[in-house]
Amino acid sequence: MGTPHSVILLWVPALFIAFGLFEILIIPFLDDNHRIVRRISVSVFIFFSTLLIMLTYKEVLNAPIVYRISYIFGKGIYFKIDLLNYTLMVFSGFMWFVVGIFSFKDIKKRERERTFYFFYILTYISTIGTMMAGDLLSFFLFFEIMTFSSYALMVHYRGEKVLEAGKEYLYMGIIGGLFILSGILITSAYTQNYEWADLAEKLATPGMAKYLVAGLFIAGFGIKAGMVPFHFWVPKVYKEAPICVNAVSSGVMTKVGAYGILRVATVVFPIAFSGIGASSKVLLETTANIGGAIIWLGIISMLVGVFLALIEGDMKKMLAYHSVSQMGYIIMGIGVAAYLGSAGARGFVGSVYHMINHGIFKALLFMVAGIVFFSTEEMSMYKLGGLWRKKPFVAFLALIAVFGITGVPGFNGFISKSILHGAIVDAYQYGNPVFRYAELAFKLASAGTVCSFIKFYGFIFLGKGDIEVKEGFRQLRMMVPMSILAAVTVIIGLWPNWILDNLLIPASTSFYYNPSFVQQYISNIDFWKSKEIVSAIITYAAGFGIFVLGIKYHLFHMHLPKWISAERVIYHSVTDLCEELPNFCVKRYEKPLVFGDVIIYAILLTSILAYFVFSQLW
Amino acid sequence: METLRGIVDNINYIGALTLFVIGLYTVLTHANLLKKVIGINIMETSIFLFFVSTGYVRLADSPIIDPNKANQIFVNPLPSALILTGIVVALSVTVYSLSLIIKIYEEYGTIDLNEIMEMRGNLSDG
Amino acid sequence: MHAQHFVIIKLILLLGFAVIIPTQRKGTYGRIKLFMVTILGIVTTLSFANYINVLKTGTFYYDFGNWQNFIGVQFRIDEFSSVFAIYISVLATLILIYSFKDIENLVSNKQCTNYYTILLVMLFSVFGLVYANDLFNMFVFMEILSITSCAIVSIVRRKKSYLASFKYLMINTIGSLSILKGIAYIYMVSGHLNISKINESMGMLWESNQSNIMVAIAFMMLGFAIKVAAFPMHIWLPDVYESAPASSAAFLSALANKVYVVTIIKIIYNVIGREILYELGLMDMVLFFAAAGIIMGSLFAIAQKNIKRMLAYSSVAQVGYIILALALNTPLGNKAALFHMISHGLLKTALFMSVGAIFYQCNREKTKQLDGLARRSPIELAVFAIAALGIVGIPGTSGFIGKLYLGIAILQVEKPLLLLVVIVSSFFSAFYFLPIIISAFVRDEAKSAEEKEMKKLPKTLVYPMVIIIIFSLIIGFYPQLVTVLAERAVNAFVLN
Repeated sequence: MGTPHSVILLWVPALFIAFGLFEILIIPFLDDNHRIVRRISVSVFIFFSTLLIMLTYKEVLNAPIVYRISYIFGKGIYFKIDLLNYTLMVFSGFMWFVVGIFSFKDIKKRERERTFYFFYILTYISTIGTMMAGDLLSFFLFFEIMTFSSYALMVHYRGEKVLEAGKEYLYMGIIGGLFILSGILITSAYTQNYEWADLAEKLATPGMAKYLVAGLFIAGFGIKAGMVPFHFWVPKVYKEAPICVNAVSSGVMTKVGAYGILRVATVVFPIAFSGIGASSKVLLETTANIGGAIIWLGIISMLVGVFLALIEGDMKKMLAYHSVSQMGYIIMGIGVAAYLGSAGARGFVGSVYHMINHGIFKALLFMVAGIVFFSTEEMSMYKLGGLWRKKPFVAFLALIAVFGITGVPGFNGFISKSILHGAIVDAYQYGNPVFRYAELAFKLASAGTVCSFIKFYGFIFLGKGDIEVKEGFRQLRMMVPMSILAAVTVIIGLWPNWILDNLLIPASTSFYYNPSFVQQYISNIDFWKSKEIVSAIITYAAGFGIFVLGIKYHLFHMHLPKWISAERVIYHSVTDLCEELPNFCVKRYEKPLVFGDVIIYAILLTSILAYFVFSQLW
Repeated sequence: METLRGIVDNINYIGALTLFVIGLYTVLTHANLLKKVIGINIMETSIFLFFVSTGYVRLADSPIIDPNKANQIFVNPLPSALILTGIVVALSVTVYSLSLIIKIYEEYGTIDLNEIMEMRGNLSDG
Repeated sequence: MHAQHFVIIKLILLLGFAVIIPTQRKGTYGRIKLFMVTILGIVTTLSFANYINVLKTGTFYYDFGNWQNFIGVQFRIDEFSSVFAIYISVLATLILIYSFKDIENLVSNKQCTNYYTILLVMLFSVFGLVYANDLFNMFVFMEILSITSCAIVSIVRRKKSYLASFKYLMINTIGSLSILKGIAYIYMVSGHLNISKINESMGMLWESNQSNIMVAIAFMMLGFAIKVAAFPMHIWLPDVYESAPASSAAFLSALANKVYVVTIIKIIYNVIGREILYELGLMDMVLFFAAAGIIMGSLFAIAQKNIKRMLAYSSVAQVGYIILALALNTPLGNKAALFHMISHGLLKTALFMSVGAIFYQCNREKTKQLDGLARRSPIELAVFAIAALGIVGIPGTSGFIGKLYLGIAILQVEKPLLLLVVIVSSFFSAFYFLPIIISAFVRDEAKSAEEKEMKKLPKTLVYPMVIIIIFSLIIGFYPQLVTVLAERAVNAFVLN
């Protein structure tokens, strides 16, 4: 507890990046002969860096840690660790570590391990860097690095379809980056300071410009988060990527997008609540409008995700659509956090908590899917069945995960979904009554989730089935990370207050949410109150009902007509335009242009002279 | 009457402009590479004419100092000197382009631009 | 006193050595190469020394033969031209080192020394153009530059290079003639050829002879548009870049193009003056054409099948950025233009060098032929990838900083449509560069291509590429290394 200790803690960001660079430089030199050394170095690096970040807790509790590196990008960049970052960074470190253990067995069967781990660490560093960034430019820098290195992870298995899906992911990532860049440019145009605070000031200006800026940022982050209508890359890429990449992407990287939206939504609070009175009213009003829009975007994502998941038969794609849907929950929570201003604490706490919980149980679900695939070589749920006999432990873990995502009391999903439900109730109680419909949609989506997972679990594990299981598939090493995740699911479910009191509630107070509100609704919440449990039971019943209906009328095999797909409207139209238009231009225009160079000169000359003559005559 | 006087006074400039347009037209319309070079030469000549005529001073002597006369007014010698340089430059460009035409003739067998483009086929296939 | 002559020593060295080379005997090619590198090294050192001298003593004018400036030839040596001289000499040295092996590969042995003669004369004219303070001298240097740059393209004995260089020569001559006509009109009105003198009297001249000056501006603008390959006049660029050897293309795009932009800046600021141009309302037209050029350049690039042609259209788009930044008429716009000039020079050179190295190794120059090449030639493809990402505008590269400044400059004049143009064209550039990079790194080579042997890559091809791309990355992370210089240069070239 002396000077060196606090000095180290203040230097955390620099240390982190230094270690990261060191690690990256080592990996290419450790080839397959040193496989064990490489694995140990990867795990040790992630473990120690997470530990390093965790140690800063006491300082962060008092005030955010700020670390400046001057002179980069002209004005210098700085890193800031506050409670929100801290939570998410520790969470991502944990996830990376666990999935890393899983990946040792997963990736081993294929080649090019070295490139995989290189990009794995690079993505980890850039994710942490994105979260740690204190100003817009460094945020953007790490965001772009994250996009490119995660692309390399996604296309780890080579092949035409993989490349096709990867191209879509990459282009959407670049489009998202360009949206964010436009937002940054419009924000910083006059001040040339790239701080988040500038965004808050911009939001106070009159006129429509601020909604454009907010819209650009939300669209850019929404692409990363898989928000509707930009969600179509999620199932396409997840189908082709390795399982551990799916786990880490859906668990952490989409959360970075949500984190960005959260920052944009709450960026005004420090100014509005502690500062000058006149602009704060405008700021709050703007944020409320933006928040309302975000709530509806979240609701749409929820519903669309669940609906598309229900008609999907491929395990990975179904889980991908559920990722979209659960991100909808998180985005809705963020919307409430912005919409209600200081009363939006439940939305804030709920969305961050759900980020953590969703990461945990989604990763577990993907790992389960992975193990099922590895042992049976079959991806379609309709062809599986009866695996509980052959793999009882996996079935048990899958059950825990399913209970988590559907919100059974006693598991982590229940906690965060209850808080989010309370958030949407707050929205129509303290805000506009139109959000009653939002609450209905929330309940509907939850029921749909239940139904879909009944389908998942039922078709894969229950019933009788005669699918062949590959013998000799040693899965012990894969069981360890899965068990860790399942254990965390249960622990958070039974003792939710530990995370709430230590991390989320101080975070919400530091974000200027009304402390008494927090006190009343969150701190003393008793999750075992009958009201919540009753609503959980109702949801389950509804879900079961939908499931029965579905089986009876073969609804699950419905397919959407081709023309509805958002992918076609947004992505394909853009890329096809980009490919066809140049070919067209080149074929028709290039030759005449090359011939007509002097003609163009003559025409321009006469027109400019004519322009001058006429302007003289005025 | 005034306009006629104006035209006669400025005949050099008008001539230069006409030549420029003629030269440009030649380069534009003829497909034969040699004719394009000729067109460019005409354009160059027109500009030299223009430049030199800017140096003309009415009723002035040629720029040679005569020790006998006092208070002489001279025609500006500077443009003429500059144009000498310009003529050399134009000459070197013409020489270079002519040698290129010879090489093109060796390769393609024709110096008609249309035929050459047909032989080259589609441009972006290179 | 001595320091004043650095500039002239540079020019004399270059021209002198250019003249000496053809007189050497046949077997001394290796020694010639060594000498050339030494000469360029000396030139670079002199450029640095000159810049330090200018920092200490300020702008000075160098009169040739001590003739007064309204009669004689004058060089203006200020911070702006010295910074550019440094940039040009460093790049020229690196590309020269690169070109040794490249030219031996493409040009017949007898012509190699001729190539270097022409090249040194070209460098001589580039330096002259940077420093010139006098319109006619500028014209002469421009003509030398145009002929020699044409020559380094046509020295390769391929069918398409002859035709391309012929067209290049035609169009460039028309451009030069246009500029000469403009100079003639200005001379007619002001009676001076010296830029400083014209600047002093421009205010009065504008009142009395508006039509003359307007015609002059029209001709000069068009002429420079041809030279710099701005949008409607860019026609010659793709053919030339496609058929030239990679080092010639690098010289053209990094040196010739940029020095014409420098000349445009000189003319706009010192000869004609910003206010006049603004009054005429020309800036909007220029903005329109620049924006059109950006979009058309990027669009055309997507459909190209030959890599160098694609890079040529990409150059058209990048020159569009620079002209857009200049036409915005704000200090930040000028700073952005200068920064983007330097960054684009570095990136395009790296791109051309890597493409040339790939061609050297395995004779492939179509975009579809690069599948899976990263396994066998990782260095060139890594350089290509980083430079391509720089042109797209990924943070960490110098291209990103250029676009950032450009975006902010655009927003400061409240023209958000132009910002949309910049963003859309960034997406287009990703669209044509990324498929190449992805297929090079991720795909596997076609079976037929795999068996062919590849030539080893000599060190002189590799080191310049890597050095240039490292410069670009350093500037990307620490842009103030260049922006400080750029700001001082911007302040310097406005004559007051």
